[in-house]
Amino acid sequence: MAEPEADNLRLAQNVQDGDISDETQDFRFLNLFSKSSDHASIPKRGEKDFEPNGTDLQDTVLAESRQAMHDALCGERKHTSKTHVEGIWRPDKNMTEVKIPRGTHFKSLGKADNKGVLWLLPEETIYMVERGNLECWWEDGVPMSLEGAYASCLAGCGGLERYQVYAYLKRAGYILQRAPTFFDDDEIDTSPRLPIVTVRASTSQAPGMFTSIYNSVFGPKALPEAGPLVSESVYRSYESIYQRLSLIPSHHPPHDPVAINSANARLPYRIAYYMWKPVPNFKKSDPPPPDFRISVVNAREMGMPTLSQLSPLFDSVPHDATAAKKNLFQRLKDGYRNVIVAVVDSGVTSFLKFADVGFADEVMYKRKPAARRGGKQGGRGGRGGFRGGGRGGQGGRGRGGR
Amino acid sequence: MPIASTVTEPFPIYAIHGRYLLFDVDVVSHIRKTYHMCGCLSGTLPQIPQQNVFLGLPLELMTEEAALLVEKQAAYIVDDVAAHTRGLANMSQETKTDYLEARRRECEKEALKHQKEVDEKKRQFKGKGKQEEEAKPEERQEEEEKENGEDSLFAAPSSNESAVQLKADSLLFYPTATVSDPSYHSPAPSTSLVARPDPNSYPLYKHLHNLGYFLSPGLRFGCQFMAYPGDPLRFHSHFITRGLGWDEEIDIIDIVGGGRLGTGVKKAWMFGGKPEGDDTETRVFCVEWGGF
Repeated sequence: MAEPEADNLRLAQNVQDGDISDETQDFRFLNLFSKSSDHASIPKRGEKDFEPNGTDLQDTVLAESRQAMHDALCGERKHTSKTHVEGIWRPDKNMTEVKIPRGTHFKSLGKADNKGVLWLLPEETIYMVERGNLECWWEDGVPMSLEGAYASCLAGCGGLERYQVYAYLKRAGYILQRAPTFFDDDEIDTSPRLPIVTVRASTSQAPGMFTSIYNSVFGPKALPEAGPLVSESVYRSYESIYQRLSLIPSHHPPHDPVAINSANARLPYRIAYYMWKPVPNFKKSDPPPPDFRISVVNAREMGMPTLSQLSPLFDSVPHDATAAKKNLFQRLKDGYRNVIVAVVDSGVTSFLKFADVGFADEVMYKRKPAARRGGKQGGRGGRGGFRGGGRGGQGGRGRGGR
Repeated sequence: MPIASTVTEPFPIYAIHGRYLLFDVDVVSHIRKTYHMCGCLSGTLPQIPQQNVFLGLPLELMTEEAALLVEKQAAYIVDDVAAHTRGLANMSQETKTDYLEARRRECEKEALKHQKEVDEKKRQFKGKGKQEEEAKPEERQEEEEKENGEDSLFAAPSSNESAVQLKADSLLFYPTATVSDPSYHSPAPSTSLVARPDPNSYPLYKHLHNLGYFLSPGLRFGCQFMAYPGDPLRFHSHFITRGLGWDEEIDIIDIVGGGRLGTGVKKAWMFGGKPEGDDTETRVFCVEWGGF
């Protein structure tokens, strides 16, 4: 029989790829998960079958899986009197009042007012109730069920998608706070803006006044309309030739800090949460600059962001001061400003990073050839010329081979 | 806990802020078994709250799932925010007192049970200690017997007490119910809320669902729905699908992209739609990247 073999092959390949939470997991593995003290026993992928074949064995295993799932979902949310925390939901403030906060969660959750009362935001309230760490009461004197917590607090969370992303990242261990731009409440900045200021011909730098004067006198003459691109002239380096070849205008993100303007970023492409990697001495009242900025989008209502949506979004986040120190490829990945966009489709979340990257700023023909390849330089010199300036590494080698 | 064999239909689907949620674990298991719908678990599982592999209640239904369940008259949609506001406002003082009293008793019962378990464990532990000691030289026997006597003298009354009354410092458990109690929440069908799925993709959803496929949101695989031949708990999906309007143009680049994507993840890329009119049939096509 050929099929089972093919199947095995497929399973074997499947084991290696991807994130484990990509696919529905078999809840029978939950038992392994919760009993073992270390989390090393997270189940492997590829335990599934190809299709139902009507055997009793398959039916039994499926019934077991469903039963395990059912049992897991029956798990009770409760906490003991030692860790008991009580809160009252105040609908007029859209927050939960906590009298006596206990436990490590409050190191990063909630905000105390000057009377010493701790206030939880709606998403913090649902999260704590969902974990079973908080007993939240309605003002009517009735304790909330989980369903009640969703019904009362979800509107204040800015929708289910935002809460789901919040809870997902909290479960993953990050520290989150609402960004000041959580709501869509500031006025649109109508002052005239230059339409697209960042795009220009991809020379290595913005031409200053002196440069342009210098160029007009001593530099190569302006391009004749019918070409050639590299006209007869005196060229003292390959660089000046490559510069003449770079015709296509490209995007140049700001390399220095620019004024932050969040007014034109509209929902959903607005920063919803600031996120920090877990640190032991996090001060929620005086947090450091966030490690990540999260924006939340519903996949069914929004497509990929357009340039006019992304530009204001980038304008609303500060410039990454460490970008210049990063190595080339990291800088190309992270850009000078970046935003993480969480895309939610009916409960399934994917995270995408959008970065303001200046590919044309990394002038490859200026790069020195890598030292370890020095020995081969001569041999490869000729090839460098063929591949041209687009791949700067080769261009450099071409020169080395003279 | 065994899976409940019957769930009264129609059951409520709770609409909160435009999303369709289920909080009752029996309903979740029921729709999985009877209607082969999985929804998407999105809540924190209280047993192991710091991970994202296994999630718990509530279960979010796709708009298509909610719409189809209502169409099949298996469910009705409840405006859950209104249901709670109304229920809480209409709750009489008596019902409230009764509810809180019942809750308190339940708490105490739980605490007593826990206390008993702890006592039982202590006793077993002591018993074990004694057995070990019995193995020691005989000279201590006499002393031990005395101790035993004393022990039983003390142990007996204290265990009696715990069975009757709760100790002042005993551990209380504070449970949070998943589903709202009927005393303050009566889910009446909403007259205004209707699930409105995308008219272009809903026919494809219904078509595949009728054929017995399990469908789930397709964002992770770059499609609208993933189609599984059986319960996704046990089976891999076969198709990644996209619904289109009958006269909707499709770019050749989308066909190539879809075909390559599907083949790349060892599935088939499927698209389909339904001509306008009531008695028309949905047609689907699969694209595979041949790579000749």
